[in-house]
Amino acid sequence: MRNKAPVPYPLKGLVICCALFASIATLDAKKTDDSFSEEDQSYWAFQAIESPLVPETRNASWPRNPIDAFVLARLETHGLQPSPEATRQSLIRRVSLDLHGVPPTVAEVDAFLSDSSSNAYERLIDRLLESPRYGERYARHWLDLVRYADSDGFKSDALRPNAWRYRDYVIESFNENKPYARFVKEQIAGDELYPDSDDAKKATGYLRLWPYEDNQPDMSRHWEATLDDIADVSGDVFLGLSMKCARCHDHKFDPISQKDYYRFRAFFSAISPWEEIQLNSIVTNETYIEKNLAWEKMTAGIHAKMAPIKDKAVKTEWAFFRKKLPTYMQEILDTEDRTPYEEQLARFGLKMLSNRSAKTFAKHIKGEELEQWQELKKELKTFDHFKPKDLGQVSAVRDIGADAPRAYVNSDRDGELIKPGYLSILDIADPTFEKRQNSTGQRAELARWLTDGENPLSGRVIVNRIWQWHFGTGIVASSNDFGHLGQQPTHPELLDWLARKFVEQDWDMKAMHRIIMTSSTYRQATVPEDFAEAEIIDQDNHFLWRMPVQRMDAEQLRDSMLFVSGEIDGSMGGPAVSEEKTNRRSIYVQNKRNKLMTMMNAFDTPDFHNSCPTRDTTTTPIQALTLLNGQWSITRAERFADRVLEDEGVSASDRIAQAYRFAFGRSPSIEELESARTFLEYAHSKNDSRRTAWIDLCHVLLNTNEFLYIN
Amino acid sequence: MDRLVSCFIKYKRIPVYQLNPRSDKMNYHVRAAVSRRDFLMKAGGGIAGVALAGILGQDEARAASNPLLAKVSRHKATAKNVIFLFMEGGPSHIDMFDPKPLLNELEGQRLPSSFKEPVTAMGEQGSPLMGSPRTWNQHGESGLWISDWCPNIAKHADDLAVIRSCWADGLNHVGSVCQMNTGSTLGGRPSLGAWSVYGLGTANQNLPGYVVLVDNNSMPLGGVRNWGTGFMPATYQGTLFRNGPTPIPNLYPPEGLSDRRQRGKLDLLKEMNRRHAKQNTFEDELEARIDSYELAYRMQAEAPEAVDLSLEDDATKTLYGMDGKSTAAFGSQCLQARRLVERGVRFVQVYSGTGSKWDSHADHETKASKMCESMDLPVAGLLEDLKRRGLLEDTLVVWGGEFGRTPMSEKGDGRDHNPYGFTMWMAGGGVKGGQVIGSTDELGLWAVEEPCHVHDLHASILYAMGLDHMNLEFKSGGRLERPTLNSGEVVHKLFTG
Repeated sequence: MRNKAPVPYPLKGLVICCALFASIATLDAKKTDDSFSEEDQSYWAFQAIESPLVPETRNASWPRNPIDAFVLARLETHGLQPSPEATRQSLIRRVSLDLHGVPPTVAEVDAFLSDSSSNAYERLIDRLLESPRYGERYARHWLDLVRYADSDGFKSDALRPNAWRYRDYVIESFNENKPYARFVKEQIAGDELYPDSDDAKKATGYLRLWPYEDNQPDMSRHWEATLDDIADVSGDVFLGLSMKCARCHDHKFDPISQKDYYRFRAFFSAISPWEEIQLNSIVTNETYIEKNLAWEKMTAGIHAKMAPIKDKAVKTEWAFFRKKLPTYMQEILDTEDRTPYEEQLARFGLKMLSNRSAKTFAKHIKGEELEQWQELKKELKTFDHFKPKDLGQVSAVRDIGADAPRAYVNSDRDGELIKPGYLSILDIADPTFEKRQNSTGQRAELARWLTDGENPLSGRVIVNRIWQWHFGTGIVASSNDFGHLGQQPTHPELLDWLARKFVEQDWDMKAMHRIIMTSSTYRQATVPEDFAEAEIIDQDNHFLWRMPVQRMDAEQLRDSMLFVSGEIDGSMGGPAVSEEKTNRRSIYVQNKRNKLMTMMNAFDTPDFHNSCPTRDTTTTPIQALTLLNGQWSITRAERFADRVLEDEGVSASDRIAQAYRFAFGRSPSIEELESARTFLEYAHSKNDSRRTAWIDLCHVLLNTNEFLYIN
Repeated sequence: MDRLVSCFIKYKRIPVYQLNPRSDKMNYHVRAAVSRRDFLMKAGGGIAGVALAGILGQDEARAASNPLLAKVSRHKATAKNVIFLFMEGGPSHIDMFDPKPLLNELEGQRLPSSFKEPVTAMGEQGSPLMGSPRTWNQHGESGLWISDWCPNIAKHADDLAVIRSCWADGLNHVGSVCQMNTGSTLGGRPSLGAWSVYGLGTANQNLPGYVVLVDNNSMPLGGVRNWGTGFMPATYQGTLFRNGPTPIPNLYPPEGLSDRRQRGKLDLLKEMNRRHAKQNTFEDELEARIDSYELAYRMQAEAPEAVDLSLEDDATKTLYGMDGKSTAAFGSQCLQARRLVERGVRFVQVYSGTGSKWDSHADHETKASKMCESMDLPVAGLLEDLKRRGLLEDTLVVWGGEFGRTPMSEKGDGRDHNPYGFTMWMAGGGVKGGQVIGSTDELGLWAVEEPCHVHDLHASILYAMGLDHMNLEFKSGGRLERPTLNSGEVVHKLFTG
């Protein structure tokens, strides 16, 4: 047991730091590269990205592009053969679910099967990449990484009414094929680099995705935890390095010192949450201006009467709120003369107050004033329909000013000062910052460093993710951790070749999809005819002698069920909608941190608190119960059956065939046809209604492995 | 392949089960292993480290095929199951288990300057002290002090190990409830129950390994994350049993869907899945999914019996206070908890006052006495019933809230949150009863002697289950995560006295 008393707040350093590692000495007293071992300095992930030569292969006919040459060379070394190409039916289902998250339509399958042109497959990929469905699918991968949610988490789990702007920004960025470098820059420092761009304003919403507790009086502690969270997630996402360990001590396995961690974190040290950042496109929109002015004019009288009542109540609430705060916060709020750090805390505190007062100040209005207040509110409401609906505002961050608050190692404000800096193992130079009028320029510098094309991690990390999004597993399987505790690359040369190519092609995401998806590697069948030997040599298919089978993730499953039942609502963008009320794609379904959607949660949606690089794929009886007995699933089967029964005068066999084509993109075999017919006839013999029998059959199809797994 | 292997040899700290180089996230549907080596490469979770290789017997192949099958402990467990009685909102230790005569003497005064001033949730650090009007008596052979708010629990004084020196990091409910469940005030980590099921598997495959029970229709503050798995797979998460006749969601087919139809659908499904599996011979996951439907079907048969309290006799129901107006709700959940551990559910959490009903910022006397009344008899009934059935030896009962309450008053007659010093107790499951561990200061504000952090509590609960909190590891995002964030020590006194 710990033989010391509880430590009062604010925590002076992290006392709960890992006792196990407490004895490790700090390794970098001064910032020089000679403090790293030779082994660390030569670790593959920290080396410059190479331009490997495309290898020669014995089998010269299989490779379609350099990817195949790298993969085949590896296979040949191990005495393995690639699998033959998958059937066209499998291919179109595979690529549709991959790029759009839903299966192909029957017409799309027919068109592809009858297209005898030599580039039919390539044109299919192009068509899919041009559709906005692509952005809706691929944005989901990114949102997992940045732990996007529509609510705060913690007790009140308040909705974030503007969060969807960031989500839509991500979807649009994928659809526009925004260069990845620009995508990164906009998210980390959009306000500093592109102050007039609406995209950039939405993008910096990235820095607002942390869980937030609006009822936490110990603000210094909450703020420090927030910066930790931003640094951890940014390290995971942009560098593919898990740096969390270095929060409390030098990283045990990777050359990241505790100081390096706080240097990296210090790039973000000047930020402060900002609300109601106005989007140009909306402000300059004439209808908006006119409407808003008119509304303001109409309601000016009412607002004038409401203002004094509200001010009084807010003051009372403020006094109540202030009393709850610890002494140091009261002092900060009572003075005008604040250091940048105090200013940050004060802003954080005032944000809390405004959240509270919006919710609670009304309770301080009493007696006659209350009657008056309610009358005025009612009156104001009658003008609501004159008000412009979309206020065009985003919630993001800005720097507190041109001077950054001081940053300290271990956030110990009595401890050692630290300045923003790159990871020493990658770059020992001290960064310089170009100050803006009200901004430190720190994040702009971080964004530049991440995307200058020289950073050995940025390019490798993102091409590895793209690879993983296609194959289910990355070339480095631990796609958020390229360090020693992660996995080593199975095809290191290929990884470098892709990263180099990607940077050279101006970080072009769609070009990467194209080259990967048109490779022979990607087009392989999942089940070769003869695999006995391959299974002995490489049972787990590390070297890709076949295409891995993948299970649909929760969104693919929900969207595909709605797609097959003919109910999917394809409208795009806008505020999140609750799951029960919508047939829209899952990416638009409201994700509340405290109330995860049941059907989707059963199929391994992440928890939206941590960066999630790879979805789990568990198999549980709860999943079976959800799909078998859950009302949502049964309703889909009903709609699906109605769709199959729609046309008059069609034989049962033809209907069965149609159901198969809807669900699996193929016709049933004679054996399958027979067993479906037997099922229907048996139901008939037991006096089930015709519709009931078909609902049951369709429900079974939606529950099959063939539906859930992608070949 | 050489490169892969060499990296493993270099970093010996990586647990053997994580060595499958293609699965950073572990593989949860691994096919039955054919050899020991194969098993070590494929085992889907459980106790980390090479030690595993030495302690596994012939069941290893079986264990490898299902991450939820019961596994072997490292040291000898003193408890098979845990029932965690969670007084949500914060019970007042200084009115129940930690008498403070000085508090009554100083009633109405400010906290003396010799006491360190705390930060409190509602800013009540400067408010006058409020005495405790309780009558205190010593109980049992051990002479434990217990107040008149817990007359029935007092009868089991000799079974209780009362830790008076607990402390936690949170100030507010949601962070504190989260920490008491997951070790961290911030969301995103697996709960203690999830770690237990991850480490030990479950003994009954037809019921969830970790069940959460609530005594009303509210949700515990913070919701699902309190029994969630954070970065671990959903396999290990708690299942919330809803209050009412159908506690497990989707357990039954919708009304009007006969068993004949359900069986018919399952048979066709099986046939189709078998045909599909034949064409995809090396995907064991497909087999696992076929099994999961059969398991779901068996759950439909077994679970209703497990949750059917009408099968209990009247005497038992009375024991739990199910015939009393104030005690019926929590009593029925306590009885439910016993039925579940009896059937092999590993970790059962029962919330009393779900939705922070123990939170007594104002009118503390009325509120807290009402909560105590609703809780005292059912908890005593549970201890008695477990003992009678010989289940107490194997079942660790943990009692407490997310924090305690302040000696300072709030709004004249309430008490604020106190995470700096509060009481929890344990009974059964190898715990030596009739003892007090640690102490708070003379006003019950700060833990002073043998302070016991939430991490120490968690380490001790895991220890009782045969798990070592520093060796129970799960790799997430390149970091080896442990249940108590690499902190905490086992309170051995709990078990040795």
